[in-house]
Amino acid sequence: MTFQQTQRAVETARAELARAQADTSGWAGKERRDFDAHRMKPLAAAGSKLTTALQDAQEAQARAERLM
Amino acid sequence: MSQSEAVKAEVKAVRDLRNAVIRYAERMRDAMAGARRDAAALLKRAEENLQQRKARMDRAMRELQQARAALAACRDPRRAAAQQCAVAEAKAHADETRQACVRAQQAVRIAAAAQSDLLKTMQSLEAVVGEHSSVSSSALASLEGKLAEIDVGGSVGHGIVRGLKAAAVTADLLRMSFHVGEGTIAPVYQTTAERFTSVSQVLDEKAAHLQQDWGDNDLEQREEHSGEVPGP
Repeated sequence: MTFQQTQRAVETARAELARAQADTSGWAGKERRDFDAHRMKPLAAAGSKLTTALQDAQEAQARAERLM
Repeated sequence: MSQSEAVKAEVKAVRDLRNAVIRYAERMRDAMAGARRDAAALLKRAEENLQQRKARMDRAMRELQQARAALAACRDPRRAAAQQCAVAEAKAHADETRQACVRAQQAVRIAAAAQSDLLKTMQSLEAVVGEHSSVSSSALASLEGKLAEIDVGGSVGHGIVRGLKAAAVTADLLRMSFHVGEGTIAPVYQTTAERFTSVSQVLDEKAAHLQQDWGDNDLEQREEHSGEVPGP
């Protein structure tokens, strides 16, 4: 798997988590909002940071390969 | 929607969300493991490339020295011009391989820095994903279990539903009172986990007590007639 493929896999996982959040509106109210803010948000943010890190790694790989 | 249907819908939503969190955490872990392998493979390839370039440069330098030695040893003026050409060619080749070697060294530095940055980022992300998915999963499992109990119990009112939901989420938020990376996760986690158990137990006992006191009557009816004294 390349960094690009991994990045796509993470983006898919993030999209699925966001969809699951939207599809589980059966649990609502203050507790749900707190849960989303304190648990779901950091999880989604971790995916976003990983995507950025993989993008940086992909660019570094391209630079390194041009020099090889 | 009846109270029972609402609770069932809530149980399903909580279960689906828990499954989604578990799946997401697995995918993140897989992605990070894959990225770690890719970064290691890139660095290895860059290092192997550098070794090959160094070997070529060493060979080119030896050929240059041999050409220079041959020119120095040449006593025949007719062959000296050809030897000088050979030295110039060998020098150009040696310069070329030296430049390739410098580029290969830069590639190794870039690959090593990329690996280091990625590992550093992933180390903190692994902690975040591990912590939040684990606590989310257990809090949601607990909430799902409590909601299912309420559903089985049937005629428990909104007050207890709210109380039990708050118990699960309160425990979840108690565990949020510390942050990953501050170095005191384990003991605080244990303490809050213990608090969670005690909060749940208290609420369980309270729910059982209320049900016992009020028999089969709906709590909401009781709440509507809060001025009345419950019968024996």
